[in-house]
Amino acid sequence: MDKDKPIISFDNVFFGYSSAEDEQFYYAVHDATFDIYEGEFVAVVGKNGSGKSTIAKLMNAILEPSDEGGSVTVFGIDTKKGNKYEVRKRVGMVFQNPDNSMVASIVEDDIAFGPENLGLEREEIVSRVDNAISLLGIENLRTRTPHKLSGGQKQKIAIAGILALKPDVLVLDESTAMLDPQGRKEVIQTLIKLNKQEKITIVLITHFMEEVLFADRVLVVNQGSVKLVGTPKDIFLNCDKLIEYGLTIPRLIELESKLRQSGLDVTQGENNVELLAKEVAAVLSDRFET
Amino acid sequence: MAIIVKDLCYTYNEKTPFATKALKNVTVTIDEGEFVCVVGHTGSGKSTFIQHLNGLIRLQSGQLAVDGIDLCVKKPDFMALRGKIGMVFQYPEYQLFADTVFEDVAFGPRNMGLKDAEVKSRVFHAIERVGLNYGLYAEKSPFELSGGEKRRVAIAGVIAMEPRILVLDEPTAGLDPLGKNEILNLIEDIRKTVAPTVLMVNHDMNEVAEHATKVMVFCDGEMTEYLPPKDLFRKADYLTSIGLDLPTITKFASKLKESGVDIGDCLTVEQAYDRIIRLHLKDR
Repeated sequence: MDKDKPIISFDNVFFGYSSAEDEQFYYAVHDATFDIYEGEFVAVVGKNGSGKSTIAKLMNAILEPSDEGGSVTVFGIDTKKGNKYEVRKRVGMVFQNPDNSMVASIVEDDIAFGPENLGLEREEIVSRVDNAISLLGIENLRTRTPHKLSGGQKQKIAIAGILALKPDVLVLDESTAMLDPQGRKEVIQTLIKLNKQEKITIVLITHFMEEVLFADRVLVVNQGSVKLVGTPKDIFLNCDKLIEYGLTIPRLIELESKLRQSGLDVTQGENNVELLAKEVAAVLSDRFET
Repeated sequence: MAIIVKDLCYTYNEKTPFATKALKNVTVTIDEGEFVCVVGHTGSGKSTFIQHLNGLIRLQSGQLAVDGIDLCVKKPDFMALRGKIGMVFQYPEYQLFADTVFEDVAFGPRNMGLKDAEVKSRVFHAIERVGLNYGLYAEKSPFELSGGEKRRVAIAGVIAMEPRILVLDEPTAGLDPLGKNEILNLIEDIRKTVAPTVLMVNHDMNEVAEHATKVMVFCDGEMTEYLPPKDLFRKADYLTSIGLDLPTITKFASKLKESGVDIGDCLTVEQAYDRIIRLHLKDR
């Protein structure tokens, strides 16, 4: 990650809407300020209704900040004034339900949908589809029918379809929420690979606290603004805050935290089964010797 | 005994070139009062098994009795069966259809032929049971509710039929952590009040460890285990070999044992914490 190069910047962003139900005005995003840097893997967490999906949509100009509501700058382009198509070319978005993003009846046609719509030459489309398929390791699915595949497989195809647009940033809006543990694992492994090998910046919107552990940095969102920023370890030092914001704590970190509060010397925020076992064993064996 | 299953077999597309065996000689007796978690991979047979329980799939071979209703006879009493066993499918909120929450929840009891007064009382109790305020919600359209509320209404529609056995297929899928906990607490509450026996398909081994009294494992159409969670999770090698995970706390307890400290079989954070603290304080 390159700290000098913020590629997405939110400056005091507000996003409001009038509710159809009670005609009141609400802010889904309320004074959010943060940067995303080139090449990093960022997790954005928050409970339902915290504004995290709205933040995702502001990142590729599906939504833009309210009037007088600050600015979102993506690769130097102000999403309100600049070229939205350029923003969307550089920031690709993957949504929650892969069924909603499948457009063709054959996997490779589905992946080609994006580049076709960019009006690219045929050779270029073929090469981009080949490249996306090989990056995701889904050669075996190439001529299959998307709706007959598992959730994890479909989500990989959705990601391949976005990669064929050659984005610099991939924003995933709860893209693992509907998958089983196996599918979720596969998608996360794919994201880590794209981040490390292809240097694609990843923004993962999620409510699975275990997924946060793979990120370089975590943004905790509540009531439309960013409340905590830090490495996963930093974030899990604030268990009380996380609970206050309606999030849950991974079980091992909860155990670490309880043991620390009872005076056992264990490292907080690691979420590492082996490390915690060693530390607890060390504390207990000291006890027996004295 | 709530459910008795003997040598249950089922083949999809039987007697065609596409025949696939989905269930192979499943034999199990589920006692009343059990909270059974059903685990296994996609295609392992768990959905086929569950659909047998309320007669959505007709028996091909083997024996099945649900709360005293024999499904082996020529014309099983499906009406009685479906009053006794309530099914909550995956993403049940997509099944909501009526104009108001009241009408949606009333659909089941009305079809059971109950009188209006009884229907009304059941709907009232079911809506309140799932944690929604009857006065505020009964006349709302189910489609203007949040995802979590919709799921509650769908569950209310099932428990309004007052089933003795509740079957749920991944009831927490797609919910955020708080929503998950709320639904699991709701199921525990329903188990204490309405339906003493619960079967739940679930992929999250941590949730299985914290709620199940018995775990049923499906693999390639066979039911390979039916055990209390602490006994099942001792078979770490077997579970790993069929691609199932272990609960985090169980993994931790076994690593701790390798490091020379035995805290026994642990399923929950509280258990592990209590036992470590007890050891910690023992020699002080």
